[in-house]
Amino acid sequence: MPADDALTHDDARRLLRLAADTIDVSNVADAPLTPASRWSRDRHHPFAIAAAVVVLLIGGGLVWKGFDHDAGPPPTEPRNTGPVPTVLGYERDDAVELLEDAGFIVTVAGINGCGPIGYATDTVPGTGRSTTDGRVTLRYVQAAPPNAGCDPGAPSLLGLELLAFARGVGPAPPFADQVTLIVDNGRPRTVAGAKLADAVWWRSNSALGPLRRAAGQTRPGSGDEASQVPALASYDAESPVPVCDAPRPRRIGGQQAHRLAVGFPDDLCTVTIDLYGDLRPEDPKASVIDTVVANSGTPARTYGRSVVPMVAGLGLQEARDQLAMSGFRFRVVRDPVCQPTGVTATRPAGGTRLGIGEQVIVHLETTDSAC
Amino acid sequence: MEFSEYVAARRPRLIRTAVLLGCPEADAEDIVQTTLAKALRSWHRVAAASAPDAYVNRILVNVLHDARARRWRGEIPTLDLPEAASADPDLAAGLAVRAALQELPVDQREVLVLRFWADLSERDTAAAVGVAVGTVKSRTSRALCALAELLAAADPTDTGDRHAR
Repeated sequence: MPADDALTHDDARRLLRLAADTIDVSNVADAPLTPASRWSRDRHHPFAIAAAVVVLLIGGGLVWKGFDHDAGPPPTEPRNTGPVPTVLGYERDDAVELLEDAGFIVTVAGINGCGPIGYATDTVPGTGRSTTDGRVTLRYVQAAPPNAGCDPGAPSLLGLELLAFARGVGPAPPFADQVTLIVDNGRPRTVAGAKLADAVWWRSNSALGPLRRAAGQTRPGSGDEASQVPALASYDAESPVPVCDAPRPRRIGGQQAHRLAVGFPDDLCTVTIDLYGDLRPEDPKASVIDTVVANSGTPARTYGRSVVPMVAGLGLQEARDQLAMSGFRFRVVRDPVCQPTGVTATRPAGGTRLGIGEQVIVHLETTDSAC
Repeated sequence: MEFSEYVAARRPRLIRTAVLLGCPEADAEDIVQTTLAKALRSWHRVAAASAPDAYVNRILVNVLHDARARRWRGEIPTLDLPEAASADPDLAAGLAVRAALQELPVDQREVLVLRFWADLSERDTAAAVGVAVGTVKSRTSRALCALAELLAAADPTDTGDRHAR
């Protein structure tokens, strides 16, 4: 089209304004949706659950009824009977929105459990399962278990906020003015923090996409079981896993990364986002991220051979870490005895050269209940 | 900003945005109610965002997409626009623009309305429709050309001599 025939931006604004002025909104009321706010923010509040909120739009002739979960969506909305999507890593309200947007009727149940308070744990029916009536119960952590200890490695608030940002349902994490970014062992780049706060920029730069996709993955369960979802963990990582991860930036020195990892237990490499800076994993607002090292879970080296490490006598977790750092998958075989001593042997034995990615059997002594 | 303040300030504009995006006028208030209800559920995030309007317009675009898929089975029903009152040139022009917008592909209509009516930046428009900024730029350019051609074709006073200038 010839340049002199094209509309300018000012032309477009003027024309759209003229078009908008032909739309009559004179009968639209200013009535706020305030009563619904209490319901939406505190879905488990007895008043909110019991109350049906009615807002009359004066003059518009339209009655909108805010509904509690069990009343169901308006009749014109289709219901979904499955499969139930994963809610891994979602804050309670976001998980409810995800499920309702998918067409389910959602009931919320708080439980005492390990994991960050206010975040979803699972659904009933479980991920990948179907419902008969379109109803799903979302379970979330409302308090820590009173007596039991929780395993370390539950995702931190900083990690979960990063995941929410990657999914487009949360604000950007607290980036410094200038951030060093390394993606999949690529060249380090210095990026303005303001640019990193733009979710669209991340999408086209392939840094958080793998995180979002990994967290949304499911794998079929066996038989009638719910689908498997990946593990989501946060921990302080001292050193990168050589086969999988990019090398640490030199200027980091001995600083530990706060790592968010997503993956299935039998995957050789998982998606990891290593954050460096002045970090408070449970208080994101007080943190400042100045370096991000992202790995999409593709092994940095998939060829060659490595040596099976000597892990006899170690605890199981340490043995797993050593094997993973050497590039091997592993499977644990439990040997019941009266006085267990931990890991006793591997097959192949320590010192054997093996192809990267191959499986090592770990023999672990456990307590025999007959003793 | 409190949610009630936002609704009071933005509801009429959102209704106009919905109609310009292709929603039948009869459905616009319902669509905007759904949009605001979704925004309310995430209000703590929307209010904290640097551009709340961009966030809410993204919700509106998604609600319209869903409505198209479920209720309208594809393209929206043809809008029954009133005959332009010849005494009011602005009304006539506005109705002509609305008719032309209906003729545009959905993706071009969206960028025009979000950029030049909702006044979102290129970046916020990209976030609202889920594409890269570069895509918004190229779509905007094509959409402006297409809109100009449609308006020229509809203009009874246009003798077609523009290209000859």
